[in-house]
Amino acid sequence: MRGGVRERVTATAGGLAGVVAIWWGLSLVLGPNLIPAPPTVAAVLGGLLVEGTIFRHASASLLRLVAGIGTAVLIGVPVGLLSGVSHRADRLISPVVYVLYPLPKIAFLPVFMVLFGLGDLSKIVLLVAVIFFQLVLAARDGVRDIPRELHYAAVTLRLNGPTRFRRLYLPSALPQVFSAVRISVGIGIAVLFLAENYATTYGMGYFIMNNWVMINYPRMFAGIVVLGVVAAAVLFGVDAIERRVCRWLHV
Amino acid sequence: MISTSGLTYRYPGGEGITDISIVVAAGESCALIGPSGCGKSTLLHCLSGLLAPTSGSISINAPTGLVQQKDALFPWLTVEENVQLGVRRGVPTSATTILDELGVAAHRHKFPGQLSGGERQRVSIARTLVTRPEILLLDEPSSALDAFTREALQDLVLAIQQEHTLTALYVTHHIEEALFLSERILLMGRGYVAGEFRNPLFPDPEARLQGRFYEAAVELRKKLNDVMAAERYR
Repeated sequence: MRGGVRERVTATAGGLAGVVAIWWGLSLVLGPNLIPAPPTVAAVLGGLLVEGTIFRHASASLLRLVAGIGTAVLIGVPVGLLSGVSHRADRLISPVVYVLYPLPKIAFLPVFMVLFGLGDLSKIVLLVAVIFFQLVLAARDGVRDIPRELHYAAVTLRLNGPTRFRRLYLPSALPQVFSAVRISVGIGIAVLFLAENYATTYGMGYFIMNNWVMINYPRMFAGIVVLGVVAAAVLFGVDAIERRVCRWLHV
Repeated sequence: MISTSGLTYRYPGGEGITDISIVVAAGESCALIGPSGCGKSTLLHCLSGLLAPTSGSISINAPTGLVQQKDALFPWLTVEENVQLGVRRGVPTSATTILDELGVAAHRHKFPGQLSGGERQRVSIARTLVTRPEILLLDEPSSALDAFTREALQDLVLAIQQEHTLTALYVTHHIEEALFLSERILLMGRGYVAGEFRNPLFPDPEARLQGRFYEAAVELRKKLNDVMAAERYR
């Protein structure tokens, strides 16, 4: 194992131990009926893993989350780059983004369900609608932050349009885009948690809410733990991709 | 050859350069010297096509390359990839040869963030040279460097200019740099060319070791002081 990886694993384990310690402390202070102790939840979680349906819930949520974020990146980043590069495009794009970005997209879920069906598609579209705008802004601001001398270099080196896009605009936006994606994971899970309570019987949102309603707090907490693990896995995945794509930031 | 006639550029705030007519002959090495904000860089930006003159004309009859004050390397590209950006189709120059000539070939797989200021500026010069310019425009390329690194870079630039017989126009506010690198020095007041100074010592890589070099520096400094004094009463 390389030193860097070992360090990261140690740090992660330390962080997890901290979370469990706080959780256990709260359980002791507030009582196990409200906050079940970690060992109780661990036992329930073990049972769920053996039984296996939790995997179906987790994979349903993971798929929706990754599809939503992936689609939002594929659409949002090019729109943001265009907005950052072209003043004319920006005059059209930025006002639209500013008006639509703050709207509570979750309120449009019924509309999405009518348009895209009750299945995964409407939930993914909702996620895209929520995440898209911050990716547009991240990519736009990344391009706007390019120092003037780099634009000058592009002109004097006579770089053509495609080369400028590939060598200047796109890489300049990547660090901000990755930050936006990391934030989107948190927001996406919050949105998914709500969306998965409508017209579905699979997904971590459904699982957690169902156990909440049935006042089965140990199972509810086990679901929260699984959701946390899914989110962390996605975030670690995003970090790994960033280290590969933005090599210059990690030397 | 570079020649301008009545070249004027106005920024929206009214500052800029006014009615500049200069000629830099082919193979000549010329410096533009003057205080900050006098329009040296503006003139260079007009010559390199980054700014369109408000009026007047520019005539340049050979390919030009610009080395900027800040090295302007793309931080996300390696040294080699940065230099590759300048490689033109049909121009027989390899990035490796140029990096070798500038003494930074060993760094070719590094990112600019891993290099020192002097090394970055060498890479930046390499990226300009790989385009095979016949006219080199340099905008205070050593101003961000410490004294020793600056002199090493000046030695290198002089050697390259002489070896490739480049026409060179340097913008600088270092009197000694102007004397070391150029045979003719144009003195700039605020937005205009106020005079010129012929440098009898050019080109001499050992100039810094001679007393005459410093005598010339004193003479040039006096001329510059006169320009700046006249400026106060304008």
